[in-house]
Amino acid sequence: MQFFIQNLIIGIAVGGIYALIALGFVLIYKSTGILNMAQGGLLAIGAFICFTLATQGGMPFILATILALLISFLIGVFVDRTFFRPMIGQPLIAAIMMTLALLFILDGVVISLWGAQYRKFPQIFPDRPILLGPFALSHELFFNFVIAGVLTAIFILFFRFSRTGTKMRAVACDQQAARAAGINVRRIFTLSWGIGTMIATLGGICLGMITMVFTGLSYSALKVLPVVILGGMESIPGAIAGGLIIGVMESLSGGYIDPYLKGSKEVTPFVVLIIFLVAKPYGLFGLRRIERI
Amino acid sequence: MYLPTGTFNETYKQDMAIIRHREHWMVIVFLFIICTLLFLFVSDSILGIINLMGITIISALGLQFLLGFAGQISTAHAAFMAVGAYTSAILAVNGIPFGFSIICASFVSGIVGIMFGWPSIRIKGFYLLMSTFAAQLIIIYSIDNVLVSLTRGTLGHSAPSPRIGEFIINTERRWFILIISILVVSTLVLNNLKRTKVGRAAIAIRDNDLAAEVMGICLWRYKLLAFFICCCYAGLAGALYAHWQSSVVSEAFDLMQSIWYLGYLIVGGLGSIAGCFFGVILIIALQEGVTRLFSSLGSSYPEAINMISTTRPIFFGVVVALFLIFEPRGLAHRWEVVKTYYRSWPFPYISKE
Repeated sequence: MQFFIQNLIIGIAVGGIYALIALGFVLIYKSTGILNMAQGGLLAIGAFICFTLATQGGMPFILATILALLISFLIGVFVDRTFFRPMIGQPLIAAIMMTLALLFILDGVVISLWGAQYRKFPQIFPDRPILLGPFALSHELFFNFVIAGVLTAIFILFFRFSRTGTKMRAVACDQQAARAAGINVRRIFTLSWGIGTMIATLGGICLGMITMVFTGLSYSALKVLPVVILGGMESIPGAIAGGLIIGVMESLSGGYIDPYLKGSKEVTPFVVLIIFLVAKPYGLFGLRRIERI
Repeated sequence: MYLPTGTFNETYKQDMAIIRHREHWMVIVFLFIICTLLFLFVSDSILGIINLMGITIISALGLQFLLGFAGQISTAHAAFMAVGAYTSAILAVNGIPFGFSIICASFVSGIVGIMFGWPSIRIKGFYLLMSTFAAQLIIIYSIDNVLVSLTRGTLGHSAPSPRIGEFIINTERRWFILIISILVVSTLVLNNLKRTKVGRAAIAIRDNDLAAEVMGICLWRYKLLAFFICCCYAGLAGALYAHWQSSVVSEAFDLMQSIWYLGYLIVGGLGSIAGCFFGVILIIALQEGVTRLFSSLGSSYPEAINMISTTRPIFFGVVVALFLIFEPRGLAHRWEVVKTYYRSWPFPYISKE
């Protein structure tokens, strides 16, 4: 029982970070209709920028994070302008391929700028774990969970109440109607890419603190994709629920199945994903599309 | 679709023929001469690249049917190739003759394809992208970790050189003949498939699946059939690849490889059989060119050697992105433009769309 609860706690903590990364996918998908497969590349590049600023730039960690977020916003704007603006009105497969091409480019850039070594963020949290009764949780995991939770809350409030957030939701709902209401749809697209990239960077920094900073981070974001599908691609609550479910499942299968089957932790979310897609194709909270011919 | 001046199809048979007019004969003779010249005069290392192109085209043809004709996306193409490669290698080591083992490989691949194509009955677009993405990871994981007793895990499995009668295929030159003949047959098969009932149903599903269903096309049957055909081609190509390399390692069939296949089709042009040839030949040739350029630079700048592996993804990404922005219909569309220009030659205004 203790083993189970310990794994459950770790799973929830990691799931919080997954939810944050999933939020980036959902944000871009909601407003532009593109599931951004390159989110992983953006995540890795953000984490590396923050790492470089913190170690070689010698900045305090908070400042490095804020600067990295600003830079990643600009990267997002650049990506939208150069890669995705020509994709407006193109078929779905073109948009998918564009995100995959972008993923390749970003991966290549990360490897050629920073190499394939594993690096560690400077230690800012104490080494000993936090004790919750008989259960232990590392400081990094706990604080990252808190940060991820707070940021997710901020983003939800932003969508709900701010003027820009309302515009974004309007564009997500119906592009043409939004345009008729006087919203600059292209600017909203650019803004979504900027904010989506910022969220990716945050996710990258959180993940980088738990594990390490390395090129495989971009693969970690792809691992979050089942989260997005599980929750339904249009739904922010879905992203959070999906993040927690996948986090817990991964941690439990890591605890119980891994001793018998090496590396099952990596595949379990995908097995669940396929079963889920057959049973409930639009996710837990996704919109059921009604099509007209 | 214009026919050249002076070509009249007077019977149904003439209209349905694959080789219909003089220009087709010219192209075929030209290709035959090129292949002969390649066989006679080209060095082994270049022939190796051409063999790789041939295998890649066979595989890309399958994906073309699934993505270009039936409109179902798959990011697990390399994994389906891996299934074929391992099946054929395991059978061949146990003494099954080559011809039979590659047919089995292609069939087993097709069955696995149907299994993982199952979600496509209910989902499409990004959701289908994700389920095939999962298929890629699950298949490669099973090969590496679950079926270790069969596949020997990450160590890789050996695949003996094929023997046809007394003839052992073990040099690039012999492989060239085998691969080109299989390529010709599989191109013909796909070309015929495209215009039969199956192909027309697939195209109807691509253009609008709901409309197709209303017209009486059984969606799930044709979607699964499309997955089956796609994976048969993948399995065949994978089996050839395994025997050609004389060993098979799951690393050769990773996710990146699957995405490369999608890239070949984008560059070549979706929904066109000629497009597969153009895309694969262009990308592999460019990639070999870049690799050779960097290695020749390596004598004076040693860092250039390390840059080969890091620049490859950037190079691929940039080529695909440029094609998507400037020529989304791919090289096949350019080829159509050239053909139309030739056919309507003295009257250039016909070729203006």
